[in-house]
Amino acid sequence: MNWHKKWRKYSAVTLTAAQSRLAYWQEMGARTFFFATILFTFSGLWGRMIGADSTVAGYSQQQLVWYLTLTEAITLSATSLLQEVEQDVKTGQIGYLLAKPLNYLLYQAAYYTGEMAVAFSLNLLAGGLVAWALVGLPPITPSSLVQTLVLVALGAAVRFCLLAAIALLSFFVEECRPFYWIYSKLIFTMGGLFIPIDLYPQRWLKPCVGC
Amino acid sequence: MLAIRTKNLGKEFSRQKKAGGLLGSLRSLYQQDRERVVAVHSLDLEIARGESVAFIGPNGAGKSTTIKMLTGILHPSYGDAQVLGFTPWQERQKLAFHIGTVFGQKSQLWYHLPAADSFFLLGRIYELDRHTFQQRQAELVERFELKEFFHVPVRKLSLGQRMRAELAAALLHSPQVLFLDEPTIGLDVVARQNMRNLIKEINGLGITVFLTSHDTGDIENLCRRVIMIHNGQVVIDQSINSLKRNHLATKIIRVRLETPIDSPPAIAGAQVLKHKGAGLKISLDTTKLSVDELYMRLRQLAPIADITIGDPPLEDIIANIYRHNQTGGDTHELAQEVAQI
Repeated sequence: MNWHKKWRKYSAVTLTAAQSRLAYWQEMGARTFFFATILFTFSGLWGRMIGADSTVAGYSQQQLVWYLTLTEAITLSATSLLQEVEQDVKTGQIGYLLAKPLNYLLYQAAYYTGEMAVAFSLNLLAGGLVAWALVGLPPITPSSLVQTLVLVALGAAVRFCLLAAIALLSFFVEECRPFYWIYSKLIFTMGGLFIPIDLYPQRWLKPCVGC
Repeated sequence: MLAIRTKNLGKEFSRQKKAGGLLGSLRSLYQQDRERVVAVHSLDLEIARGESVAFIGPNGAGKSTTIKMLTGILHPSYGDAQVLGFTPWQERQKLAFHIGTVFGQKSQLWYHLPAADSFFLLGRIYELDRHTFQQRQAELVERFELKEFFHVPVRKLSLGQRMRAELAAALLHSPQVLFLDEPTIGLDVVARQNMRNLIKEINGLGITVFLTSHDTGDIENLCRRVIMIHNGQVVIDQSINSLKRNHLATKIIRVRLETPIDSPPAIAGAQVLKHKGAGLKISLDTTKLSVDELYMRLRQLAPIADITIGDPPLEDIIANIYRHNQTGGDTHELAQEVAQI
């Protein structure tokens, strides 16, 4: 009964956050356009580098483009979690939330899920259409689809934990953007945005695979 | 039965000090001076259920810190507090089911969504079942006249409409104590009056109202008791009427004589603020001259056609007390002064 009430409570936060995110349709449109542009650019770049029929480290141009579509759909679904928490602390708005029967971190997780679900779905739809037009559909099987969805959910959860850890620093240092800057640059260079992680030197990857 | 009780409640902070200029900024990189700030000092409060109390004080007096401790947001440095029998900072979530908050400068409604969506979310947050939620929402929509804009995004509402919706949202879960922080700030005269009427109505239902406001109109219209704090300490805790009657021994007297007089009379203890023909507006210091004596002196000038005796505005009284504190007035001295009245 208690769990049921909690589920209803936080699922309502997710639903409301999703509705609110849809209200920012102009921003969403701009992001989707940006996404389509970089997908088009990278697809052309890799097409020149690899060629239509060859592969790099066993990956074809089609696989790389779909890889980029998926990872960028996640990256560009970034929510304003950090700014939200920072502003809540700075302006005292957090007082409103803490004066309610809520767990602040669970509230933020539910909020993040709602915002991200909408943004990811729209990004994947727009990016998928562009990728399909450029390189065609990849071979999709029910199991690969399930694996992908699980990976996306896990990736989103890891990202939430990292962002929440940085955002909660607001309680101590108020300005947590420098920490976010370091995090984002690390993601930018190490997170597989430029090239798939598989292409990194083996001695970097071995410890991770070993895990 | 008490709604709020605090005993020796205190909160201290440590904050960084930095000398001005570039040199000060550079020095602060390796040497950080910190100072201790007493936000609330040994606060003792007792507020009965159903009371309507104004909790006032100049900026930085410790009002917000007290509210944060009473709602469980801040842990005190020492002392004890009970709100509806709960220790706020230990039982924050349990207490939250029984209290409501309205902060005039912040919003609990989602900016891009209609108030109806925020109500739905709040209903879930306060774990109301569907039937209770729908019944309560319908009551509030009717009582607060929200119907015409209930499904309009909050960003498109006027401030008056938004504040009405904010207040209604704070009551959705039928709280027993309502914390109001500047609920009428920025509202026009009509909207402010509407808000005051609604708050009065709420208090009439037995809900304890704990109001923080710089608007003396709010304090005078909504509360019977005023608690004033300064430098984290209670300096005044009495009824609004006693405060007005006792704290400033000044009366504002308006007189209309039967016949005009050429020049205003010079009477010790009475200062003529305005004179025009047969009309006089006088500020009377009752410690120097009684109302009766003034009346007799005025009668000597000419027969009196009309006379009204009024208190100075509450705003003047409060401003005078704040000034007393800021210009070297000692908190204890003021507290003793008030106690002797």
